[in-house]
Amino acid sequence: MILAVASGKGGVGKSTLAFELAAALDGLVVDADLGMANLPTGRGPDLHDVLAGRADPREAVRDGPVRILPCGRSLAGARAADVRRLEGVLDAVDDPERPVIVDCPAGMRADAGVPLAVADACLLVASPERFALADAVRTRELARELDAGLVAVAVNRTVEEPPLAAFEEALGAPATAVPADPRLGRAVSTGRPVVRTAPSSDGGRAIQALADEMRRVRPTST
Amino acid sequence: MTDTRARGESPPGERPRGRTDDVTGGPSGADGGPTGEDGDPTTGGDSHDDRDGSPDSTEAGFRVRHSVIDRESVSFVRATVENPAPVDRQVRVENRLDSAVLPPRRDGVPEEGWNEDGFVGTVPAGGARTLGYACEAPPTHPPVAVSGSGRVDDADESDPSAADVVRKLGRAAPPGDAVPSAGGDTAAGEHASSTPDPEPSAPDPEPLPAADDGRPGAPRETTVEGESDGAVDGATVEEVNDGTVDAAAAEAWLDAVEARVELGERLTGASLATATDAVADAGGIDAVADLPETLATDAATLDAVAGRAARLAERARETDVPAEALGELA
Repeated sequence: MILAVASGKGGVGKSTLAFELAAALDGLVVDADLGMANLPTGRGPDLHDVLAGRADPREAVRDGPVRILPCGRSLAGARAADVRRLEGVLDAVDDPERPVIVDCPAGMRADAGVPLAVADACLLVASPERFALADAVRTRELARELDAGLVAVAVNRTVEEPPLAAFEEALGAPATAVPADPRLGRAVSTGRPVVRTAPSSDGGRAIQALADEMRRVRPTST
Repeated sequence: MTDTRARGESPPGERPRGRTDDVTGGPSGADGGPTGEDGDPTTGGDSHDDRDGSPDSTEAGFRVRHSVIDRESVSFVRATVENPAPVDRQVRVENRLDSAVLPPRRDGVPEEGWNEDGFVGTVPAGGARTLGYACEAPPTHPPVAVSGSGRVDDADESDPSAADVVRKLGRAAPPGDAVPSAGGDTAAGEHASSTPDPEPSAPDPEPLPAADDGRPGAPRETTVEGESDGAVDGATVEEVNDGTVDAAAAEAWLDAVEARVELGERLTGASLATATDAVADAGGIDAVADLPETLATDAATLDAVAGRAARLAERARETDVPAEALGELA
């Protein structure tokens, strides 16, 4: 099963939530942000190489606390990568037991659209500000156009009670508040997902709730 | 018919008038044909019997007009398909030329409905579609075969594919000019813009050719306008326009040679202590390993430059330009 984690704006915490969700669902997180990768890479082939036809998707997967298919950082790599290959790549790493969580780029171009078109469902990440809602609505429209059903909305980094009802009404999916927690911010760089290290914290519980929503998704195609 | 001649004078690859620019590619290469497809039902109406056009024929219930322009081993095919029926109908336009269709493309992806055999799409009731493509084959007559597959049912909307998405949303790859050039250079300004578009296999890890052959390349930051090969031999200096800049390059080269010569002098018949210091200053034994060879090349280059300089000086002295007389004549 392929689940896309998308957002209208960048910098709202998609990569962190994708990483945490992959930890909660024991899945694989794919950093599909071809131009502005976030998840740690290291040595070996990455998604740029795979999309340029230079590496097999499975050999680019890194084992670790959370399995990651990282993305390269170079402009040349981003240019050589053919996003049309992403469909085959995600299918190749998809596993009935372990869902694939795709960390999508922000925006409305094909690099954001292709993961949504390939995914069985998507989760939308938004900031708790009022202006963020408009961007979330646009991305929601894009996801709808591309047949990626919206499963849940994560209102990320909340410090006070967010207007969840407004998000739910505008986007038509259950919204979950993920509190601002420095441990969540550090999770990707330390490789220690909060959902495992502090499962009973507010942050850990919110991730778990989102993961539960994702577990309800059934693949659209066989 | 007269139009054919008029079009024959236009440069190859020119698109039909009124087309938008979003169809990329040209007649050369596999990037697709220069012509597009036009869903505007009115287009068929005002283009009556232009080109060498075949007279209207009827195939599978469609009124069909077509023409081929033969241009340097590439044929440009145009076909107008009119649907006189009062229902939308599906049409298949199949290429009969002896090569694959180069369809119109957007962001490198063929437009919807096109494949290497031709086009499949809908013609609106009572309307027309004008299609165009290129093909690397000589013209045949007729260039296309038209068939229909009945009326269109609305239920054929399939899942969007990755190609559909790229076509609709556009690729987000960084522009070629932003990508560091294959030399591993810093992509600074003028250099990047001269880089041919790479379908790059990552930046070439190989460093720029260093000053390992005794040619002046060592003080790279001072060479002319970042010339990547660092060659400041006579030819290059003459080619590059401005005398003052070149003088700086020559100066830099001479400085580099001088530094090497000085190092060589310090090491010539030196005591152990002096030699140790000199080697340490030069950056280790590796830096001195090639020094004898480099100095020999330097000497040869300097001799060549000196000889040429002397000859040029001689010739310069022997000239006698009658500038004043010329000025009066001008």
